[in-house]
Amino acid sequence: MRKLKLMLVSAALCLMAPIAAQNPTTYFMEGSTFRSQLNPALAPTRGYLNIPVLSGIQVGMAGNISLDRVLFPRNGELVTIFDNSVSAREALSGLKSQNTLELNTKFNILGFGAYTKNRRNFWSFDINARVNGDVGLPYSLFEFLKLGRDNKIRGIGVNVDSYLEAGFNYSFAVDRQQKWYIGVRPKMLIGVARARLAFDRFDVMLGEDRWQVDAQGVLDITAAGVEADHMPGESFEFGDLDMKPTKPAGYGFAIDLGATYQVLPNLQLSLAVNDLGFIKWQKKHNLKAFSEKMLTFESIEVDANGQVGEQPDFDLDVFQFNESDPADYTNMLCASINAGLDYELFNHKLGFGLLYSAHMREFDTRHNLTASVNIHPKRWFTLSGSYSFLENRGNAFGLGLNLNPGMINFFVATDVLLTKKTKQWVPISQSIMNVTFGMGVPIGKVGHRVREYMPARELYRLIKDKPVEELSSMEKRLMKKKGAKFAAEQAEIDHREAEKQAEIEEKAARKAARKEAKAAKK
Amino acid sequence: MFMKKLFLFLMGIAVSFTSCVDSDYDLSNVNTDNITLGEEELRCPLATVRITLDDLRQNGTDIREVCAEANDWLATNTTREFLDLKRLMSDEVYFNELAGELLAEMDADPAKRNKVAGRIYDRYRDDFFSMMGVPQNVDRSLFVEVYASRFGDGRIREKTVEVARRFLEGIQIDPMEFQLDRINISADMFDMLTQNLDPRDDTDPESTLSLEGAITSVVPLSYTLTPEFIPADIRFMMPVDAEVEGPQTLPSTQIFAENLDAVIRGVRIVIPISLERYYFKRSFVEGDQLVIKLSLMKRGGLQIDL
Repeated sequence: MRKLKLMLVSAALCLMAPIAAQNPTTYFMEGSTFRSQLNPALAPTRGYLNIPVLSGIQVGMAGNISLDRVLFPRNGELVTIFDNSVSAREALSGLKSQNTLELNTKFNILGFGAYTKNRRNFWSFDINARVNGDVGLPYSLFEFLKLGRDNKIRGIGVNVDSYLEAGFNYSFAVDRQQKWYIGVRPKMLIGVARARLAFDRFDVMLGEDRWQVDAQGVLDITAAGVEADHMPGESFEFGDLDMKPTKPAGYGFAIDLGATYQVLPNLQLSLAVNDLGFIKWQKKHNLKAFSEKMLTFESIEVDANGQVGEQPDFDLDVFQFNESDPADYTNMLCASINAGLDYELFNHKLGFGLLYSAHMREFDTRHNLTASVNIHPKRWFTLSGSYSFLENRGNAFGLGLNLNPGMINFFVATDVLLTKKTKQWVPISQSIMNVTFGMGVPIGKVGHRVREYMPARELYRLIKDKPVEELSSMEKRLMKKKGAKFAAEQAEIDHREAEKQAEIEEKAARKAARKEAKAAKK
Repeated sequence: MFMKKLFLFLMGIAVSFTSCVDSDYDLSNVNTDNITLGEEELRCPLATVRITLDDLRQNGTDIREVCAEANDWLATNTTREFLDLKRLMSDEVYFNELAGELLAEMDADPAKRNKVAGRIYDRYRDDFFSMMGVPQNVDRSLFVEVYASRFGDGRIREKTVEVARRFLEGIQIDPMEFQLDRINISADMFDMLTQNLDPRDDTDPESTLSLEGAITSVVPLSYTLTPEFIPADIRFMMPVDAEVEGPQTLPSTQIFAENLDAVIRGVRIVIPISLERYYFKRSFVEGDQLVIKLSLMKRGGLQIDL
C-alpha cells in the first residue's frame, strides 16, 4: 500500500508538468536545426555541426492536468493532492476521468548536416538519446484515495522506455519547379531499457463488514542485466530489482516521412509523420512478473473457545510480484503527425504559421493546434511567438529565438516564459511545457530554399531566364534594380569563361597534334 | 544599432519572464508528511464475538434452566411483560405485588400450585419439612399433595414467598471471557491507523480512532454489558434492550495507538453482564444469542507515511 502511494505521489508530482513530445514553436523557426526533427522535409537555413551535449536538448511534457491541480499552497508550503488539508471536493474538481502525463526528452549526442551542391537538397545525420514516459491514473483511483470509498479502478499504468536513435535524413525537391520537397529519415534504434507497470484490475472495498482488495497487475521490464533478488517461488518487490543497462536490450527501426509544398510563393503547406517504427526487445533481457492480490478481511471470529478461522494477513501492499516466463516484446513507437501552414509577408520578414500536431501515446492521443508569428528581419535572426489551442490549459504562449550570425547557431524555445511558474520554472496552470535548446556551429553555404536569403547575384542567375510573369514581386524588384548590372557582370563572366574554355581547347588541340606527330615519327 | 535594440528587447523579455514566478509554489518545499487516505470516516472490521446459549450460565447452570425456574416463581396470568430485576432489589412494594400475584394464582390454579410445589420439592424442601409435617424421605407426589392441602397455612405461604424472592433476586449471568489472539495487521496498516491521531488532551480532536460496533441480542433479557479488554485498557458500557430488534449500536470508545497495539498483540475480553429485565413471556431461540461485531472507526483519514 505504501509503494502504491509512493508511485501515486510521484506520478502526481509529475502530472503537474505538462509535456509535449515536440516544441511547436520551433516548427517555423527557419534557422533551428531541430526543425527537421519535426518534419524531415524541412531544412535549416544552413548546414550545421552540433556541439555535443549542448547541441539539442528538448524536454517536453504534456498532460491533461496541471501543477495547481496536484500541489496546493498551505501555510507557506506546498502539499500534495493527498494531503488531508486538501478537501476531496477541491482535489477531485480539477481531475479528469483519465489523468495522463507523457514525458518526452531528446538529447542530441551527435549531429551534423549540410546542403548538397545544388544548395536545395539537405542531408543530415543525428544520434539522439530519447527517454519517453507515460503515466495514466484514473479518476476513480484519486476518488478512492481521497474519499476512502469502494471503487473498481481500471487503467492504472506507467510506461517508460529509453533508446538511442541514429538517423540519416535526406530532403530533396521532386519537381523541376522545386515546389515539392520530400524528406525521409530512416532511423536505426537501439533499445536501452523499457518498463511497463499496469494494473488491469484494482478493485477496493473498504466497508464496515468487509475490506476487500482484488488487484491484478503486470510488471514487464527489459534491460540488460535485469533480475529480481528473491527465493524461487517467492514474490519480490521493487527494491529487489536490479539492472545494468550497459548494453543494448533491443533493436528496431523507424522512419520519419515529410513533405512540403509551395502552394504560392509565400504560402507553404507541410506534412510529416514521425516515429513510424518499432523496437523489438529481447527475451534474454526481459523480466516479467504478475501481481495478484485477492484479500478479504471480514473480521476475526471469536467464540467461547477462542479464535476460530484463519488469521488474515492484513497487508494491502499490492506491489508484490511473482516472476513468470520472460518473453520477447515488440512495441511500436508512438508516432506523431505534424501538419503546417506557413504564410510569409514583407519579403519573408514576417510569417504566420498554423501547426496541427497529433501525438499517439500509450493511454491517449494528444491533439494540438498552434498559431505562431515569426519575425525574421534578417536571415540570421528569428523570433517566434506561438499560442497553442486544444491542449493548452493555462493560456500558454511560446517564445523562440534563433540566432545564426555566422560563427554559431543558437536557438532556444519554450512556452513557460510568460506563464505563472514555480521558482524552478515549472508552469503552474499550464498543461503543456516545452523547452528546447540547442547550440551548434554553422557549416557550409546558405541554402537556396528561401529565395529571400539568397545573395542577390545568385538569385539573379536563378531567375534571369524566367519569364517576367513568373517572377515574384521581390524578384521583379531585383531585376529592375540590379538586372542590368548583373547582366553585364554575367556577360563578363561568361566571356572570361568562354576565353578560358577556348584556351583549354587550344591546349588540348596542340597536345593532340604533338601526339599525332610523335606517332607518325615512330 | 540593430544589435543594441535587439539586446534591449531581449533584456525586456527576460525581466518579464522572471516577474511571472509565483513564490507560493516552491518545489523544494513540498510537504509529503500528511498524506491521508479517505477524508472523513473509514471503518475497518475487527472482530465478531458470538455467544451461544451454552455460554450463558448462572453459577454453571444453563440460563434456560434459570429462567424456567423464574417462570415458576412468577404469575403467568399477569399483565406484566417483564420482571424488572433492578426494581426487585430496591422496591418492596414491587415485590409484594409480584408475590401477591403469585399467591393469588396458586390459590386459583391447582396446576400452578402443584408446579411450585414440585419446584420446592426439587430444590427447597429442607426449608418446608418442619412446617409441613412430612418426613425428609417423603416422595415427590406426596409432598405436592400435602403442600396443596396445607397451602392456606400462613407460614407455608410466607416461606414460599421468601424462597421466590431469594431466587428472583439472585438471577444473574456469569461474566464471560474470550481470548483474542494476535491479529496479523502489517506495520504499515498500524501506522496508517494511528500515526496522525490527535493527542489525548485535545479537547476537540479531528483525527481519532474509535472502537465501535453493534450488538445483536435475541435473549429475552435486557441487560448492560461492561466489556473490558485486558491489557489494552479499553472498557465501555453498553445497554442492550430486548425490545429492540436487530443490531444495537455500541457506544464509540476513543482509543489510541497503545490501546490498538495491545489489541493486536492479543487481549482477553471480559464481559460482565448486569441483568435488568427478564421478559418471562418470551422463550429462548436456538443459535447465537449475542453477536458482538467490533470495528475500528478512523476519522481524519488513514495516514500514509512516505
